[in-house]
Amino acid sequence: MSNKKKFQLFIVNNISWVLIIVFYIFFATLKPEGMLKLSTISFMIYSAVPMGFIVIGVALNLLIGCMDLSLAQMTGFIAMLSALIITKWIPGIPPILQVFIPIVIGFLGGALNGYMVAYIRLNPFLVTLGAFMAYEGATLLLQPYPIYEGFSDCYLVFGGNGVVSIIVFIVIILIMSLILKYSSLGLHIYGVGGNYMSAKMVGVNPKRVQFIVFSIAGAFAGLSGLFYTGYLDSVPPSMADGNIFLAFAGAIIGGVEQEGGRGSMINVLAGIIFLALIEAGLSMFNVNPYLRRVVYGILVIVAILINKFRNQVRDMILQTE
Amino acid sequence: MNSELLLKMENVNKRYGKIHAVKDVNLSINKREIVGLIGNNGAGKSTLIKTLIGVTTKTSGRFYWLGKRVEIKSVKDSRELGIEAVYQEQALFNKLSISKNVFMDREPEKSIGPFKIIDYKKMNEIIKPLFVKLKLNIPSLEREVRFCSGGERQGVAIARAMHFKARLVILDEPTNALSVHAVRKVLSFIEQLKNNNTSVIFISHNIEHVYSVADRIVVMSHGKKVFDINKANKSKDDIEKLLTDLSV
Repeated sequence: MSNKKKFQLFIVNNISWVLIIVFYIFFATLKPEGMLKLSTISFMIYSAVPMGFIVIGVALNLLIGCMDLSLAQMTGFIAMLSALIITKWIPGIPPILQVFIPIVIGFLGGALNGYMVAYIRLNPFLVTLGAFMAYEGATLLLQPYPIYEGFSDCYLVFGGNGVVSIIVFIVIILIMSLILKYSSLGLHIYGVGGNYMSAKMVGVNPKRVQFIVFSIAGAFAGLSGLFYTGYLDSVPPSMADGNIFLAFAGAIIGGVEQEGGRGSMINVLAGIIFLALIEAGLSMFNVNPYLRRVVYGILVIVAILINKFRNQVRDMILQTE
Repeated sequence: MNSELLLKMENVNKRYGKIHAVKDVNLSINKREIVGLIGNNGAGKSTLIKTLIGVTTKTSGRFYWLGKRVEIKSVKDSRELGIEAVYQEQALFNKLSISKNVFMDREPEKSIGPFKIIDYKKMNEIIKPLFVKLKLNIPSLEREVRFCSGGERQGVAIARAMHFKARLVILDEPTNALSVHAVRKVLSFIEQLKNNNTSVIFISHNIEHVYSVADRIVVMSHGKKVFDINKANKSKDDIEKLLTDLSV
């Protein structure tokens, strides 16, 4: 492959990073006093972390060609349930163990969805749509008003402290990246997402892979619940309402193909930062909340367009090889 | 017992409810033998092969592998014996590289501390000589399989079977929908398999392709084995005539 082509391919594969730079320059030109400050940049990334975990969960599901629509509502439910367990039902749990409660609940929630999709062979879209509604109602059933008090410092530090938050987030992205690239599970995820039947025929157990991925995605919803709790310093019953569609946009902008079988964690990180950048831009210009929803809606569509365009260009470059 | 005998299938039957798809078939495969399995759609050849691969289980009958009675209940069972299937749809992953395709589910691993990671370097080291053996010329093993030609795709699937030391490779319609050039390539892969001490069952409805490489030709019709012909004794025209008579 010629160097020119290698460069073209590099740009196409990392177009999300290019977009970040373009939009950042755009916002910075319009409002240099806010955007150019290091504190703005670090706050932007910090505030994207809780949402980022949902994006990772969505991305993992998309890699196997599935969608878990319930992840964001699950996040709200997990945060509320964990908060009730820690502050009211079983107050004596050692703080360091409390941290694992939302992660375990999330894992189980994801596993339940995964079981229905992988083993009972129910349509993932419909199953997780049902779960979406169920979690939404269940959160309000648990408690229809926020919890502000009773959390340990240890429980709040993860989402509450910017440095801790960003470091944990980056480390987890790196670990997931290594798992996808260098572990058998990672390769099998791409295999199952790329071609379910082929995977089955060469001996991969695609049901098991689906089940595991849904479970891990659920654990990420749990992590998101934990980090949102620290970030907001409380648990409102509407914690991550509606975030699933934005998370979908983030994963798609991050280069994960909606049909499955292609995508990388480092680019998903770009998708997450891109979302944060748009969010920061909209806040900076005090965009009306209704208009904001319109912008996000359009963003989802644009994300799909970008992906389609990226694939076409990549094919063009590779085809002439 | 004949020491040249690799596989013997005895009185194999397969019923799906009322449908009797395979009727009392006896078939043996010798070591280093290419057997062409011919028949129209619905003749029972695919079903027979599926019982051998373990995709489905036979209703009755016996399998002998190297003279020993064996049960094949799953793909894993057949694979442990050394039977590899290359399916019509090849079971490939379009978006993944050639090397990942060859090794999917049987990745070479190396240990780094407590972790096991995929050894990509070793993958390429293993594949290169395999492709040389198959006379398969692909410039980059990183190329995604969707950019491979039909012949190359078969090559990748066959290389997979070869690497995993198959004693018997089953090719299901490997020349279907291929260009003349690609067909020639696939037929040469099959001969390479034989040179590599592997037996082959070559399923096809194209007598021309089968005749050019097979040592023996087995014809199935309506679930039964109707001919088992040593190629040395019959010309291609004879066999074609037999087939025509059959379909009348």
